Amino acid sequence: MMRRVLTTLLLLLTALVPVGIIVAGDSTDPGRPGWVGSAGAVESDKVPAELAVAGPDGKPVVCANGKELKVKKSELLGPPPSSGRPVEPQPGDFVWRCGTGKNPHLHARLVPESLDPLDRDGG
Amino acid sequence: MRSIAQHAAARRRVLCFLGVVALVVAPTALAHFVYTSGNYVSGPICVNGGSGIAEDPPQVIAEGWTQSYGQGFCLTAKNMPAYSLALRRQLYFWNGSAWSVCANSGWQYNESPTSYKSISRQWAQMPCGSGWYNHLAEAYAYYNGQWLGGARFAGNHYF
Repeated sequence: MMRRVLTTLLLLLTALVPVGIIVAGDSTDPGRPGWVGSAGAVESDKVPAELAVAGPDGKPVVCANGKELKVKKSELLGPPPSSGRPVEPQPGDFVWRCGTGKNPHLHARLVPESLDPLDRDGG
Repeated sequence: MRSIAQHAAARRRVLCFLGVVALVVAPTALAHFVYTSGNYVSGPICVNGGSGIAEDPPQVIAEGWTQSYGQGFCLTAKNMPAYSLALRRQLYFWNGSAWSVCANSGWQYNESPTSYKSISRQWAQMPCGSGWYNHLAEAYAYYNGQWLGGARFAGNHYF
């Protein structure tokens, strides 16, 4: 009888502890970005001039000069650069990574995810 | 030999336990799909965009469709020539203090005349690790020498 109760409690703990960790951890909904309206539409005049980039570990990408990589608003929001011109579709996604030169954090470049220099799994 | 009462008590305990487990597990097992959509009206056409994010497996979708516009309404579907409907998916990640950009699809265009296009992506593991994500879908149509449309966030989702 006692063993059954203990087994039940153990199983309950196994089920509840991960939920508790999520609830107590960093899973509090951060809310929508301040530049997004209630129906999800982007209010482009409220979008910050530049945004940080998250790396594969979720932390901000820091460039060789020790500064956080930023991407300009103009590169994050449309319209598309070309007009009615055929564009070769690319397989896979792209990630923003540090540029070159004196200020690599200000010259973000798009890199195919398969060639991501920060991807420790090799893509 | 166990009595009927003992069997009934044991069965009640098992059912009670399964009920508690179901209460804990079921909400997390159910697929959670967050989606928004809306119109961008400009002149004689409506460009509609939709943005979605879901789990099991983690996935996003961006949609765009075009309609003729008249009398204050988006009316019938309007075909756009090839390469005149453009979509882009962008994944945003909450880094603990701000929303940051994670990955994007690049611009993708319709390759034949159509009034609807969608692009989607699934992941086995999220590209910026565990945490809160949001999906930005951009939908644009090229009409009368300019791109018309806009961008829309789906909503937050924890992976």
